[in-house]
This record gives sequence, structure tokens and C-alpha cells, in this order.
Amino acid sequence: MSHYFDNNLTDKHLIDKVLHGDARAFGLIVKNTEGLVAQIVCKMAGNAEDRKDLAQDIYLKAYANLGQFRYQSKLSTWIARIAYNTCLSFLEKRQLILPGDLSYPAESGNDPGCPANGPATPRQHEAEALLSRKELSGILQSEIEGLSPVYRTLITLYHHEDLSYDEISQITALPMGTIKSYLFRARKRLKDTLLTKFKKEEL
Amino acid sequence: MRPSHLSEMEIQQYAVDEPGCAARISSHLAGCAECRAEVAAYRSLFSALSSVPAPVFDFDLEALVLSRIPDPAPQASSDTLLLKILVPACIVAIGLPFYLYRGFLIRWFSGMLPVALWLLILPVAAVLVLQGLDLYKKYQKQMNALNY
Repeated sequence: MSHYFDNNLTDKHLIDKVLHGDARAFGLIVKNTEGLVAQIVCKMAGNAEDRKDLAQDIYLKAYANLGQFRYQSKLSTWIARIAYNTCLSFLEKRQLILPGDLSYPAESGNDPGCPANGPATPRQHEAEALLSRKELSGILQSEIEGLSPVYRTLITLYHHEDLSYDEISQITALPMGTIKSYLFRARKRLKDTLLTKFKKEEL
Repeated sequence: MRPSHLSEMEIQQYAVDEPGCAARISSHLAGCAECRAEVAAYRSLFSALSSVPAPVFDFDLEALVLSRIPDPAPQASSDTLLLKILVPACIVAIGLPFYLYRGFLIRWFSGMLPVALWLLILPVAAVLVLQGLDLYKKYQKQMNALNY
């Protein structure tokens, strides 16, 4: 069993197993890619219920179309692309997105559906509030929430998931120049906002 | 705009990818404390961005997805098999009458004036090409909708 779930199984092995009817192999694909999908879904959808529906929808689409995967990218990139497109369609249907718009009405700041890794108690929060680094992180999170979903996602994919411009382009289907331009605007806005809150020396 | 300093774009580029930047940028930064402070601000921002805790779903996604997966294997492979059977069958169905009546067709076409022949062939070819293009566009649209 543990051998079966060896993480060293390649994408191809896993896909072959799924295509031969092994649903447990798809479970491993879900596990391996869930983090990246959570980053995209949580940056693009604010409501916890919507996130749950979107996450299910993404993986059911991936399962249904797995036979069409042509190994032109990593499996995680392919699934991330499905995640991005599914979220984008969801936002467009709800008219929650204006392409190229940097600002976005901030939703509830505490991100209820996607808690950050490691739940923190109120006491811990008090302690952390004393630390400027944690404070910076919190302010940053709320500033990221103020960006539009596409900008949020790009910033996260580049600076948090360490994906290259090329991988981000594969996921979002945006031209490289557009990604660089959006990232430039988002970074500048975040930096300017933070600089108004902190003195440069404190940064 | 800061005429005597680096542009915002150059400062960002340097903060993101120092080795990939032009020597002019590095030499400016060596003598400009203000631009260095801007670079430092960006680097602090990037460091903070990478340390923001990653979000996690507050539900068991694997169990949720597996409970909704249908029992049989994905349909894609059976669709492909169907396509592999249907395409040759269509080719045979269309090609067989032409093969059986080839003698008649050759006589019929050779009896026609070249101008009349072209008047027949060109519109049919144009319609077929346009329909093919339309089908291809629809196919691409459907593929995009399916998030490939």
C-alpha cells in the first residue's frame, strides 16, 4: 500500500493507472496538486462554499479529460490551468472580474474557507501582533486581497509558488508580456502601500 | 518619473533578477542610496510575499472528489476508440460509391465542358473549405470551454 502511494510515481504512471480505472491513483494526483489548486481557488473565489464547489469541479474536469493530457507540460501545470480557467469562468459568470483591473473590492479579510497552514489561537495572534514581521505578513495579506483576482493569482504563483513566467503563461494563457506587466503593477502597488504604512527603514 | 534615478521597472527587474540586469543598472545602484533603498524595499516585499502562509482547503478534497468519480474509467479512451472506428467507416461509405460508379463518373465528367466543370468544382470546394473552417473554429471553442 505504502509502496503504491510512493510519491516517486511519475505523472505518466499515475495517469496510466487512472485511465485503467484506478481511482486511488487519481486520489494521489489530487493530493500532489491540491496545494497549487488551493492557491488559485483561494485567490480567485472569496466564498467558502464556492471554493468547495470549484475545487470539486476542477478535479472532476481533470478526471474526465485526463485521457486528453498530452504531456506538453507538467500534470500540476495542466491541472492549475483547469483551476484558473474554471475560476475565471466562475468570476465572469458572476461578473466579478474586469480583465486588467488592478483594484478589487476586498472581501472578508480572514479568508474563512482557506485557513493558512497551521491554525493559530487568539493568544498566538496577540503574540504575533507584537512581531513586525508577522504584522507585515498580515498587512500584506490584506493588501493582496485588495488586488483583483487575476493580479492576486499572478503574484501568488510567481512569488509564493516560485513558478516561472513560462509556467504562469501556460496556466493563465496570458502572453508573457502581459504577465510581466501585471506583475509589475501589482508589485508596485503593494510596495507603495506598504511604504506608506511603514518607514523604509522598518522594511 | 525620476530622471536622475533608475526607473521603477529597472528597480523591479534588479530586485527580481539581479544577474540578468544590465551593468548600467548595477553601476548606478553602487552610487545611489535612494535607488538601493527602493531595491531593498522590493526585496523585503518579495521575502514577505514568499513567507505568507499558504492557504489550505478546510475540507477533505481527496475524499470529496473520489466520492464523486464515476466507477468506469474516463470516457476519453472509449471516445477515441469510437472515433477510430467511425472515421474509416465514413471514408469507406463515401468512397465506395465513387469506386463502384467510377466508370460512369469519368464518362460524365469527360463529357462536360471544362468551364462548366470548374463552375461546379470551385463553388463546391469553396463551400467545403468554409464549412471545414467553421467546424474547426467550433472545435477550438469547445476545446477552450473544456479547459484544455
